[in-house]
Amino acid sequence: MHPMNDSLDDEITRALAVEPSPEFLARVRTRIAAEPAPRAYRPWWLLGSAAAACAVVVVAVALWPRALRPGQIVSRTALSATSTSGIGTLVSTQQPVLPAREARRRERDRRSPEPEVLIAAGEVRAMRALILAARDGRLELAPSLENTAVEAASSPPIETIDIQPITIAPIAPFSGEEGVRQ
Amino acid sequence: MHEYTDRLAGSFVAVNADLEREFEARLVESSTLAFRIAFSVLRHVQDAEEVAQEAFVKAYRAFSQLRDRDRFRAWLVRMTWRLAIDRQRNDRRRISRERMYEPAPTFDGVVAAIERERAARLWRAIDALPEKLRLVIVLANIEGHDVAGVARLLALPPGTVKSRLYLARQRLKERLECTR
Repeated sequence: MHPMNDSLDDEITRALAVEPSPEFLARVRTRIAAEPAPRAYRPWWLLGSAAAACAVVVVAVALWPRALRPGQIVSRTALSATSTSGIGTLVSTQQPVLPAREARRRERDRRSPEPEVLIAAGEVRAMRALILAARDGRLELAPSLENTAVEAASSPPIETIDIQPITIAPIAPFSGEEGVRQ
Repeated sequence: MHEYTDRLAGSFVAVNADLEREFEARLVESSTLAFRIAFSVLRHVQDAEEVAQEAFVKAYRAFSQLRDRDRFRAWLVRMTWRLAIDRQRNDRRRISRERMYEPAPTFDGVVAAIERERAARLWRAIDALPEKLRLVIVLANIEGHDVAGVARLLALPPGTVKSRLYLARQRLKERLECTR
């Protein structure tokens, strides 16, 4: 090393040759004693990744559309054995339980506007008036019904249809002469 | 079951005790290094001690990942340097160099004044260096680190350390010549 470098380095070394106070280490130890003990290294990132993956799987399973799988029981009916007259019979004790998807579909169908059976308002009023009159006794329907009793439809006897066999005459043989109109 | 948990707890206690022992060893061997690095920036004993203490507390918290000696010292050097620089920048109350470290009181007045002046000139020259040159020249003059030692502490190739040392010395010489 160059002598100038030597003297320069010596100077810097002297300038840096400062010792901490004797209490320094004790102060550091006291400060560290207040800290929680260091724990052995654990790959927290690995645990975190595993936890995140589990959470994703759980959420995916929870949100997955529950399709009706083949073989799945549509109507679960609790059966209980009752012994009446000494013979064991299976009696249904519950209403059939529909799967959630089926129940939702039915509810949707119930709410959805379906084409109504359209009856003329006059006919509706007439029918109501007729029913009310019959209920109140103002109108006796029995004689009317007797008079207009619908007779049993007697269909005419079915005639036997004879279908004559169709005979197709053979086509006349070709004369063999060209240019002759037939 | 109790036997298993007792054994498990015992192993944790043993691990913690091992960590404590290792950290104590690192603290004893590296305390002066951390203090001097902080002092080279702050040039105030109390401030340097506070910064070094802070660095050791941070090292203690992350000690499970810093059990390797070289890794610990390199981490400590970088952390102490960074904390000291931050403190120097943030501490606007101490802008003058009047609080510069006083040499030991064994010098008589004249010699002390000369020494103070020389030290002040040197520190001014060191302060004028770019940060990466400053850290290299400081580390090379603490605890007699050679080029390989400084390279390990800074995780740099030895060639880079060598060139930075050369540049730092050149600039220091130029500056000291100018201010002579």
